[in-house]
Amino acid sequence: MGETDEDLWRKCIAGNADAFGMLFDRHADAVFRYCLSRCGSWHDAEELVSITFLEAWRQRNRLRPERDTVLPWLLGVATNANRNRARGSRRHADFLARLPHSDPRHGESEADHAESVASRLDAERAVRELLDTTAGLNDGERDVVILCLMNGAGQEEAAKALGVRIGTVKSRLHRARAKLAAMNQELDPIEKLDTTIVEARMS
Amino acid sequence: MNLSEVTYPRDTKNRVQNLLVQEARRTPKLIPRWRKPAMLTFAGLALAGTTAAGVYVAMAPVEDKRDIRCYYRADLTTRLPVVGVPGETKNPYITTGIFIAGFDTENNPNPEDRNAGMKQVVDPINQCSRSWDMGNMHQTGVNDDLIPEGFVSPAPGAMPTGEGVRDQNGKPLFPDPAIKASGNYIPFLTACVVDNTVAVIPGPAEVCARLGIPTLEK
Repeated sequence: MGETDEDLWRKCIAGNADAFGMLFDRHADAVFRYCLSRCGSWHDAEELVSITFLEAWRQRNRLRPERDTVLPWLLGVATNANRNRARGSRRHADFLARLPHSDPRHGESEADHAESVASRLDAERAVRELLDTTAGLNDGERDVVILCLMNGAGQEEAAKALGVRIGTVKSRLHRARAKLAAMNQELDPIEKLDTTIVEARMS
Repeated sequence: MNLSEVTYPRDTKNRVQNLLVQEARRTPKLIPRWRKPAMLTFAGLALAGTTAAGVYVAMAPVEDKRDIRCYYRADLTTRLPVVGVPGETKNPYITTGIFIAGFDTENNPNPEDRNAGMKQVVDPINQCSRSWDMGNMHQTGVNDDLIPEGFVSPAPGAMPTGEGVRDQNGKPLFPDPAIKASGNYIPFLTACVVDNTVAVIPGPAEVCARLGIPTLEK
C-alpha cells in the first residue's frame, strides 16, 4: 500500500516537493470538481486548482494531519481561494502566467476534439444550472450544498473544510433543503427539480 | 452530466503537477523560529569572512558518469507520449553512454553493475550535443518550440554531411572526420544533477537552479 496522506503531509512540512506532487496527483481531480462546481467555468476551475495547491504549500505548516485524508482541508483552502480569487491571482501572477490550460485538441482526432469540447460545455452548463438553483441560499448554505450535495462530501468533512461545527453543517443543510424545496414549489411543474435526483446524480 | 465523472484533464494535470513541484522546490524550507537567530548569526559570520557575496548556486558532483541523461526539455517530470502507441508514455529523457570496445558481456566481472561495459563520460555536454545533432532528441516533436524560427532541419532520412561541427564549448562533435554531423538543432545545454546522475538539460546556466536541482560540479 502507498503512503498515507498523513505521511506525505509530514514530508511536505519538511519541504519535500515530491511528496507534495504525490498529494496533488491524489487529490487534483476531487479539488478540480469542487472548484468547477464553485465557479462554473472550466478555465477558472483549472486556475483555482493551482492557486489552491500553491496556497496549501504556503500554509503547509498550519495543518497537522490527524486523519487519513487532507482532502477536507484542501477543499477548505479552495473555498477561501475562490472567495479571494482576485487577491490570489495577483499573488500568484508569475505562476499563473506559466500555467498551461488544457487544450482538448492535444493528442486527439478532430472527432475526439469535438467530443471533448462538447463534454466540457455540457459540464459547465450543468454546473451553472445547479448553481442557479442555489441563488436563493446564503453563502453558508451554498457552501454546504456544493460540498455535500454536489461533491459528495460527508458532513464531518464539510465541517472540517469550512472550519465550522458539524451541527452548523447539519442546520445549514437542513435550511438549504427547505429553501430548495420551497423554490421548487414555485416553479411550473415542467421546471420542477427533484432534489433527490440531483443529489443522486451529483454525489 | 455526472459531476463525479469529471476529471482534471490528464495533460494539464501532469504539467501543473510538474510546475507545482518545481515551485515547491524553489521555496525555501521552513525554519523553526528558534533556529532563525542562530542561522542569521552564522550567515553574518560567513558574510563577514568573505569579500564578495555572490549569488548562491548549488553544485554537486557525480562520481559515476557512465550513464548520462539528455532531457528533451527543461522539465524533469512530465512523461512524454510514445508516438504510435496511444496512452503509452516514456521518460522525459534518453540515457546515453559510451561502450567500451571489445567488452565481453558473457564474462562480465561484475554482473550486478548495470553500467558494466560503459566508459565514464568526460564531457556530458558534448555527449548530449551529439544526440541532439543526430535527431534523437527531436523524434516526437515535443521540443519543436525550442528550434528557432528559420532554422532549417535536415530532411527525414537524409544522410549526414556536416563537417567540422562543434558543440557550444567549441569541441568537435565527432573528432573522427569520417563521421559527419546530421545538422539537427542543438540548443544551449547545461549539465545538472538528478538522482545522483548527470542530467543535461536544454537551457541557460541557471536552468538547474530554476528547476531546483544542483548544477554539475566540474
